[in-house]
Amino acid sequence: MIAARRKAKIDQKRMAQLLDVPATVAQPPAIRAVDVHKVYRTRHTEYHALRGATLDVARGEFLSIMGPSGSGKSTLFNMIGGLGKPTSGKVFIDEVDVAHLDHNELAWLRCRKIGYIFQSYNLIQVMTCLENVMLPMAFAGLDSDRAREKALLLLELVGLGHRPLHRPAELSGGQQQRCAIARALANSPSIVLADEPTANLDQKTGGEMIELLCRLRDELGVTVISATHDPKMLMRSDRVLWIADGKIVRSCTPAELKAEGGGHHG
Amino acid sequence: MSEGLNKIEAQPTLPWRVVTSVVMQGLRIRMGRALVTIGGVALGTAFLMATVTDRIVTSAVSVERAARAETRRMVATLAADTGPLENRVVAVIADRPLKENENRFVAQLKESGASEVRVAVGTGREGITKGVSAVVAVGGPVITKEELAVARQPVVGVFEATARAPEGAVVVNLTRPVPEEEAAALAEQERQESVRLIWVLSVALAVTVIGVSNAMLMSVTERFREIGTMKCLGALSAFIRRVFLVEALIVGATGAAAGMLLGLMLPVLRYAAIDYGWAMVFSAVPWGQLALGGVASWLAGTALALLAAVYPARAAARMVPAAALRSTI
Repeated sequence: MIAARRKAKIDQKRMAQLLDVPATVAQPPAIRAVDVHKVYRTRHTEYHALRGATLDVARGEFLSIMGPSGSGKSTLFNMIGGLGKPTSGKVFIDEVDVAHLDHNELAWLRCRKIGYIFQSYNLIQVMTCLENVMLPMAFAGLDSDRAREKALLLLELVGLGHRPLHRPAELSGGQQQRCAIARALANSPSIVLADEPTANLDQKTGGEMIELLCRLRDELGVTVISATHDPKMLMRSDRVLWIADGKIVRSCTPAELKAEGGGHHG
Repeated sequence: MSEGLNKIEAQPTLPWRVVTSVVMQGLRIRMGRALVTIGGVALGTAFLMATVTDRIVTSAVSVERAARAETRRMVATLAADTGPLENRVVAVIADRPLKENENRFVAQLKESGASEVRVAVGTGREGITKGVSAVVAVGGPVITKEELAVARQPVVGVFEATARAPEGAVVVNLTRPVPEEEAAALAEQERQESVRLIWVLSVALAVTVIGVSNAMLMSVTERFREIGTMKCLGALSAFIRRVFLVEALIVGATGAAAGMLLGLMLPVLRYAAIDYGWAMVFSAVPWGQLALGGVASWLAGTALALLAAVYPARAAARMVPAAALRSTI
């Protein structure tokens, strides 16, 4: 294991190969949502969470989504994350129409195409960092030797290479989130979805996490979509979307946001 | 179908080895909770096994006691016609191997003070009746007049009606038919006891199943974020279901084994140390039957734990991946 780590530091070619860095050519959008409606029905009531949300997310884009609670932000997040299907409208994730997928194929999509980062890290508490990062690769059917090698590389990449055998409870919040980011990258997804990734972290650690996400975007070309209210995160984004009442009501750049004096909350 | 569909593949089903390793990891870390569930299964199985052991031991002991009493009665019946057997000789003539009760009878004759018991099975009966106080016929041999003539007393004890004694012999029927009403009363008592036992056992086992089910449901609720996260990472519902079923299997088999040993040892020790004595218990207990009961109890305990996990496992498998996004708990 230690040998594998040492190897990791020198073998950049192997790393690029393992991490499957995509070529930087013009590509179709990572995510396209067209007129997405989502209605939650209970026996007596209907709740329209999304009322015609449309968006494109370019490959390699760093996108932030803002919106008050009840705005449909979480629902939109679920739709573009392959966690559910729209009631009407289309969602394409990496050019795949989600509506046509069954449970099994959705699981495949979540496993290979999307990496999830959660507000409260959601590491599997009973597993070590290394095992957490290896888990999505096990789900993808990768043999454990290769999975271990790649997991150690990823932990190295997020700055956690020195404690692969610690359990989440033994790590600080920032370290847990680093581990979670490594896990999100396990199957070389083209999209990373981050749900309030800095909300449980202090200013400094949150800033480090944002830098890490930006670095991954730059180096690996992944698309990063995050739901956030963190001004630092908004400022580093390529684009900020506001969602209110189930629709996307505004799209702007951080520069425009700054010009207004920031702090605009939908 | 959409243009991207050809890129989608089926998510591979993970081998049981992976499922088991995930389960073992969870059990090791959450040992406390596992022990509670194991305890539940163990108690239920112990109750079942204790009942089984109790029945086997008590019935074996009562059969043994009845056999001993019956043997004493036979010897007493014989002695009623021969007089006390101290220092007397008895001949046993058999045309087939002796059965257990007949062997016991021979042993009891010696215990009653008979100086010699000559046994002839099939052949070798020449002259053995010389000077005996009684000739005992086992099976259907014909005791001849000559044989009886050399005996000290003309007493013939017979086990079965097929045996023949010559004219002038005093024939003593050693076996007796069980009185009909006595047998009927015994059967009725047995039946009632069985009904009561089955009832009590069913309730106890149902309580175990519900208890284990409850514990597992709690552990599903406790882990809903973990389950949601696994689904986000690409776990299939079948994988989640298997994780919970395998966990139940391991917990169930362990608990049932512990319960089986407990339910075997406690009643045996109690009966041996307090009620019947070690010698009685160890000579009377049919260990093969007890071992069979143990295996059956273990299987039953494991099966019940598995049954208890069916609903929780399904609840876990149905959990939506979006559950991982909820930040409470």
